[in-house]
Amino acid sequence: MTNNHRDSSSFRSPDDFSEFKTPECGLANEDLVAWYYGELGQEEAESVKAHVQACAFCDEESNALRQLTSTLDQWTTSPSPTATILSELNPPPPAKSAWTWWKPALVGLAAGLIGFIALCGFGASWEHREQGFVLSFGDVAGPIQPTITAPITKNDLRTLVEFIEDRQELRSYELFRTIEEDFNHSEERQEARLVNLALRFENSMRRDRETLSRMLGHYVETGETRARHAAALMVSRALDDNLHQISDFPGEER
Amino acid sequence: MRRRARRPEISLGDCDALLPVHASTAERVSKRETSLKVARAVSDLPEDERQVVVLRHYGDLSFAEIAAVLEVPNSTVKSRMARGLARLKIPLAPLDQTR
Repeated sequence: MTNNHRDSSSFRSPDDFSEFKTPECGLANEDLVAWYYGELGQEEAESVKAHVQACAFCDEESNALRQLTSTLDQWTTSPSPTATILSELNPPPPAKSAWTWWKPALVGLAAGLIGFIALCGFGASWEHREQGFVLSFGDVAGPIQPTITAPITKNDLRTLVEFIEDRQELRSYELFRTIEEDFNHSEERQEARLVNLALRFENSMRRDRETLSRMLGHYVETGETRARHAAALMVSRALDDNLHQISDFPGEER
Repeated sequence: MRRRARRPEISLGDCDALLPVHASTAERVSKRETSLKVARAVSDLPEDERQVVVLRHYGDLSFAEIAAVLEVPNSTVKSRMARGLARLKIPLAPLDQTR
């Protein structure tokens, strides 16, 4: 844990953006954030927790953090491409039906009847022996092998990347169609804005693609599933942001 | 003389019962607006801070994982996260108050 013993004037830069107050008690803001996100070791975490409980200033700061992260949670977007792919690979169990009691009973009865007929078709027969009725089969098949869910492979990853790239191309196309349409109706002074917007979009896409490929590379090396999730999530959110830029145009300046 | 039946009266306070449909629409719009504002605030962060905030808060990666992915020291991730959150506080403060 690092302690900042700098005074408030040295902690803030001239163009200070920070709304989190200077840690006058000596606890670094970074440590407070790391503690809040559960990133400190047990000993450090307990130490910070005890400090926050005793220090009104840090208690206020941790409340501010809680409020901020709660606001961040308000950002909801469409499901990420990864989520879509994973749901196809591992379909969720069917939801419980709201049937009334007699419907399942009826279905059970019908299933039993069909099963009985099927058993008879497969050579099953009832015999009456000393111990009562006994069901016997002609040829008994081997046990059915359980379906094994295959682990995510590099091929799946390739599919994921292709899927994401398809989405990017589609959205690029949408963006440039919008720009093209706007060009036809815009005046000269708007052209510069459009070009600027397109350049920003391209740069953003390039950076996101670089980050994605780096992260996927990391995944392949380490098999870290969560990195894969986050990569797609990040790209998805960046794309959503690009769409917001489109929908904002030609509204007010951001 | 035939007495005219009195029409039932509803006080303005009772009108609340009629509101849920409109309220839910307004709520949805409000949520959408808030979501857009948060998205904008996050996307306006400098790229290095945005990556860390998105990966930690939305991607649920640990600082160590983010450090490995971005190929930067753990301490850098920590400071970027703190700076990013601090920077987000100004644009998101009005949303805190309205909720």
